[in-house]
Amino acid sequence: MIKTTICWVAGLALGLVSQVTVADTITGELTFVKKASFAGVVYMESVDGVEASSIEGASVDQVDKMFTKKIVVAGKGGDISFRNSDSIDHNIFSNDSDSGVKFDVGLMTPAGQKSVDVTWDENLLVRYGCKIHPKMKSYIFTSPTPYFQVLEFEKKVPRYTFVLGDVPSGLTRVSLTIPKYDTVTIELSVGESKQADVIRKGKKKAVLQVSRAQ
Amino acid sequence: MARIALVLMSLLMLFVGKVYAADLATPSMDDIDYPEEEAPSAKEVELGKTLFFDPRLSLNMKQSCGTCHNPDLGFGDGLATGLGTMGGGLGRNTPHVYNLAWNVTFFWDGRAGSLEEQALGPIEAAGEMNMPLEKLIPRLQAVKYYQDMFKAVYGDGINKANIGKAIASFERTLNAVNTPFDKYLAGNKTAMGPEAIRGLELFKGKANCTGCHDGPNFTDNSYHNIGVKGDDKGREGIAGGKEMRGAFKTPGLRNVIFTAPYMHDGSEGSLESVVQFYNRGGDQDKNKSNLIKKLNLSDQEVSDLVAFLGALTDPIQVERPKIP
Ligand code: HEC
Ligand code: HEC
Repeated sequence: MIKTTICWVAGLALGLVSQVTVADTITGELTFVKKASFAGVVYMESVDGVEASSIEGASVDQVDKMFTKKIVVAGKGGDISFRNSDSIDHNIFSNDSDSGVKFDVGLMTPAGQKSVDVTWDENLLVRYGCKIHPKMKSYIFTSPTPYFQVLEFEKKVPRYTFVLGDVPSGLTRVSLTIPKYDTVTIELSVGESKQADVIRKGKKKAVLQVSRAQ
Repeated sequence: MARIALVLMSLLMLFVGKVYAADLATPSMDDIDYPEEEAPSAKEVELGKTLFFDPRLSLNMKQSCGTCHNPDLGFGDGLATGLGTMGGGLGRNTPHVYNLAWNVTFFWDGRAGSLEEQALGPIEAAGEMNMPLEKLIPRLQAVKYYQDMFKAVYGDGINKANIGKAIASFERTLNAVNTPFDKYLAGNKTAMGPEAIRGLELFKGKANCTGCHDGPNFTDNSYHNIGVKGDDKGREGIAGGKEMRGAFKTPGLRNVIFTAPYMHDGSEGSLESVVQFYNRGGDQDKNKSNLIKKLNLSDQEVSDLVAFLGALTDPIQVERPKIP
């Protein structure tokens, strides 16, 4: 009886300790030199030994011949649910040569729902679309951790801010991925502020600035 | 209970019966997805224009892109179906090349995914220009103008990818964005006459043209079988799927007045005959889209629609370049 109580107290103490060290906040700003791109994701890279919970509930809808998200974030081994809320047929497929990912859910009739298993690797940005409406485009990003934020850009708006909360102190690398751009990764400890150029095909397209606080 | 469900269902059907149509609008240059994210330089456009009109791009030096996509004929050739450099007939009508900067798939069946990729197709196609690219590159290399221009624009000189990029850059400048319809939208209520204004209402309403010809460029970028007779498989030949049999890309309608004859096979000679075609609900029903039905338009309504199509006109002057 006494033994179990001690265990319980110790467990509580441990829980408190880990909670204190968990609460880093990363804030940042992305500023495009000229026109903004399509969309991007800021996320924490994983580290061996630091347990990250899985990403659940990834979903996208089709409304007014558009996907409701420019990038949907999913975890490897998870799934993404797609809906069609339009009154016309759609389809969801990917044949993405950059990532090598291919799938096709076939026809999606109005009010239809389909799910796609994420069988491919982490850190991939996969373009998908609708065969019937080739103008519809969106991406799936397989984030290695559940600490991420999607940034949806508008061409005329050059500046975007973001906040990643509750980041475990063991995760020290923050990355930015944008379709067709080089991925930027910054090593960031508490109290630091850093800046990096964001490059596309050898050209500087934006500046990423990040800070970390407890 | 079942009856209530039925009533609810039919109510629901009433609401979902109308297909969403993107607003008709003036296309915005900001919405062009340039492959380099920025508009090409004037020099790159000039290089592309020169290539577009240069007969060196065909094996027997008889044909340029501009022979079939003739700016004096709305960037078409005025023929029902195209004619290749060796004199052979092509199976399909030569489409115009206006406002393709906003487009995402190319050819009547959408088999090319970019203008860059598209441009290399007809050069090598035996039935069209019949010019293998490995022969074309030395031919262009022998011309000092091309040597200098490719070097200045791309750094790495004349190659397949750069030929595609230059031509596509020129094509992305052929944009009709200042038509009477655009002026009307901008607030000039006299820019379109009363016929065309009634035609606009029919286009969006009774005739339901916006079911497919919607958005700033009057295309949903999708594929439909609208009931044109013939055995061309269309999109099915590329994407498979029986539901795509006889389906073709919805053409954009800006400057459409210049590009007769119409349809993938050039089977309709005038805009009036196109509207009559829709009015009778197409010419064959197999696999036809359920958006194509008899319209019961009066003669006046037919000519109102034609007047509206005429208000989508913004002639683009293209000076033919001097071929080096
Ligand atoms: C022999 C006549 C001919 C020549 C020469 C020719 N074209 Fe075409 N072009 C056509 C025809 C016919 C089609 C439609 C074919 C199809 O859809 O299957 C077409 C389609 C196109 C399209 C697609 C338009 C759309 O709305 O999808 C573009 C763009 C185009 N051509 C550009 C070019 C360029 C650039 C060149 C020169 C490199 C060229 N063409 C040379 C006849 C020609
Ligand atoms: C179901 C979709 C759909 C609807 C509704 C529709 N169109 Fe079309 N339209 C198309 C397609 C697809 C083509 C090309 C078909 C082909 O060549 O087989 C086309 C071709 C045309 C062309 C010929 C363009 C060219 O360059 O050859 C014109 C003009 C046109 N449509 C006008 C109209 C008008 C006016 C209406 C309303 C009365 C209308 N369309 C309704 C899909 C549609």
